[in-house]
Amino acid sequence: MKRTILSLLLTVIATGTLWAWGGQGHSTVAYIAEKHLTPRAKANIESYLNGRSIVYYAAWMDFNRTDPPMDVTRDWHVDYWTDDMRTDANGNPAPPCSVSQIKRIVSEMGDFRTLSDSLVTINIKYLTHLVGDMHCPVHIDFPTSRPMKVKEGKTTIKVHKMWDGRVLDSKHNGLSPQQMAIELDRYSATEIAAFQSGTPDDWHNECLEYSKRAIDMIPANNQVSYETYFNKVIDIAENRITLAGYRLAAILNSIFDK
Amino acid sequence: MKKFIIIIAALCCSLSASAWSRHIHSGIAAIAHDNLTDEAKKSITELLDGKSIVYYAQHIYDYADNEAYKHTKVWRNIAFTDKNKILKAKKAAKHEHKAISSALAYEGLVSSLTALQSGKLTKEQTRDNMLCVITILSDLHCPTHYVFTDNLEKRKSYYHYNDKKYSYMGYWESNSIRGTFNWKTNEFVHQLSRKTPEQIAQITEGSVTDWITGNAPLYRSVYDLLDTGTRFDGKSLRLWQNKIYPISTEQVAVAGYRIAAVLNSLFDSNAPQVKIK
Amino acid sequence: MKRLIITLTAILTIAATTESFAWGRDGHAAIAYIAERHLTPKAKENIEKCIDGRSIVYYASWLDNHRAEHKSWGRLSHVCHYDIHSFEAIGRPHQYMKSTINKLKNYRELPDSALKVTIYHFVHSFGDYHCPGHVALYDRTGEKTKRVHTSSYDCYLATKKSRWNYHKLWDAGIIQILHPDWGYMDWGHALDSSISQEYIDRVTAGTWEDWLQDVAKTTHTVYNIFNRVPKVENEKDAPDKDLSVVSGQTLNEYGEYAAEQLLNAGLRMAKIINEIFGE
Repeated sequence: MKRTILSLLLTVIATGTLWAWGGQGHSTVAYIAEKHLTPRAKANIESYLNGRSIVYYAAWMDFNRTDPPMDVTRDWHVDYWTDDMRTDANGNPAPPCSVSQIKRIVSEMGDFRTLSDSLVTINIKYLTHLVGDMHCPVHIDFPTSRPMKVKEGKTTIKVHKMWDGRVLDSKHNGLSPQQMAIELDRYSATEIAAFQSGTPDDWHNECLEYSKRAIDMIPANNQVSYETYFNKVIDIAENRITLAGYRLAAILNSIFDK
Repeated sequence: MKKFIIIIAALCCSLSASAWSRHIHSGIAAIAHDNLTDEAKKSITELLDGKSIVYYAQHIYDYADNEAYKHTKVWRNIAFTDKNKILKAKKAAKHEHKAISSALAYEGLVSSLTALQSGKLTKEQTRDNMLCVITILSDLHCPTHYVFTDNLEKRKSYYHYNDKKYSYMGYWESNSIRGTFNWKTNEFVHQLSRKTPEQIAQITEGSVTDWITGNAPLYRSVYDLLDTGTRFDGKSLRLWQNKIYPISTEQVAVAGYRIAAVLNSLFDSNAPQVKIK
Repeated sequence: MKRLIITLTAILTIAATTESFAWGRDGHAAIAYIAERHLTPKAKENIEKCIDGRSIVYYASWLDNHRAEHKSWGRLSHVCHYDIHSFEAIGRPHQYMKSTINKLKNYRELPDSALKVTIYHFVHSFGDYHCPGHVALYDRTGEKTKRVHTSSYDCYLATKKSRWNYHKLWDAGIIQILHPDWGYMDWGHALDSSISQEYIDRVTAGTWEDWLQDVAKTTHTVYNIFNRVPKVENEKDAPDKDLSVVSGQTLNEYGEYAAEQLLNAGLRMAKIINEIFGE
């Protein structure tokens, strides 16, 4: 019953915001990444951010995606459920997506010191956000044959929105992103190195698997509750956030640790 | 059949009982975590696969329908006589009022602590019992979990604000703190985990039972802080809240220190031992 | 139903109590926390000794919570007035800050209880005075003094699809909308990760009077951002034709400015406390 209060609270508070992972998840990804930056990479990055932390910009792309000139980035937040990522799940031509943007930015940032400050700054903001987005199970555009809406109690909620906050909140409402990063960042150096290995494309394929799993776990009657859904997928959410953090660190280190 | 009825009654009650909100539970656990000895922290981290007690602050609520925690649904409230003595479980269970018949938090806490002290548990059992201790001991520092048999009417206290009616029990659950501070987990530590060793010694002096019975007079007085039916406006609500938050924040801190003392005693052989009774 | 009531209590109480806070609770706490991060160990120890061993953050919104208990505080104006041409401060609020800081400077002579209250006043009001919603600009060149910029009008917030009081938007609105999940420690960490000494020196150069003048100047810029937004053209966009629309982009510009003010206020507060309590 306590959960119902929470869910109600959240529904009321959350109306109007639709962010992948919500601010809490994105901030957590950035906290985890920051902890795994080399001192040199961290110093280089923050010199472009006026001494701010990447945490400050974790959800920045979400604040900006509707107005020009940032509206060009609107479709960067999602990926597609097909191998070539050129068409969406229904076979239509696909606009740019997070994985291809990440790859483009990484190659553009080859020697960041030769680039203008404003370009480096905005690329840091993009990467910080997009690596989080690509790991969010509903940021893969799944076919419309899958459920788009579910019900929690009597409230109807979009599957996308449920993952933008509700799933994490089901267990971690009240935990600050800083604390959440401490709880989730608990892997050994060897494990972390394994998570960080591979390319964005490899990670995308893995994300796809998790995404399918997260969507397939929705009960057949589309009715979600702690017992039938949240308690079962919270591990997936935590795993995705943690790995996104490690991988963001790997990307940023590869660019800025020089 | 009788047992079944008791369980149902208990269930209904536990559903309507006020408990600390998630924010406060994780805040208390964070204060406790901050006061664990290195030795205790190490053992506990192992039990929890690398996570801390903060992560699990409310685990037994989230998984209340799991086999491991089903029986803890009646471990929410504690009943007291008019003399501020803990009402015995047998007596409580027979009581016609469901808030009392289900007030078995003390028995639950004692059974979990006894099991942990026996040292005969598997890793999983140790973990489950420890999580029970953390959540229940937190709740036993929330005044509305104290049911005074001579004072049951006051559990129905309410107030009006902006022409709406609110329950006083519900207020304590969250807004006793959230009404004044928006603290998050680590901020509870920053604000409240700053007592001197002498103050901590005073808070953790005596047995677990002493702590709980020691809380009773104060918590009884908390029920008197609201004249039921009061109509608040913004200003009078603020003035009233100013009387409450010093109590709620202090109880949260006290709960944190005491949970740390219990866990240190269980998981660090060099720490001072805390007795159950 | 009972649950719904409780839920609504939660929301309403929070809404009701945050209503009149410049920066809201989170912003005030963030300023005090950033200040605390920049205190010398000696200054931190000394000031905490004066406030029962608590952190200054604990008292960041004390004045708002307790103002109803003291008639004279209820009347305190927390809006600072400035001349729009010279950015010179006008009137009582400025005098109040002056006397608060002077009292702190002689803190050893104050009785304990008076000292506490003075600290509570300072850690809150100093934040207030960095909030654009708490700045009013006056033109004194004509026959009558004219209030040029004020925050007491409504605007239409595009991202929230709702009518907002401009003052209220600054009071907590922006901070809460942009980062609802952050606590004050998250703000402190995000804004104050590796601030350069050069930045600190620049922002804390001069006297507190200079700083407030700086706030007035930048607030003027912020009001101009607001004035440059077009009025609503059709009914579809906003319920009221006369409302200026704060677009998502403008809100972000505000957010940027708010973040800067939180950081500057924190750094400056630290400088004052260090100077007074650092010995």
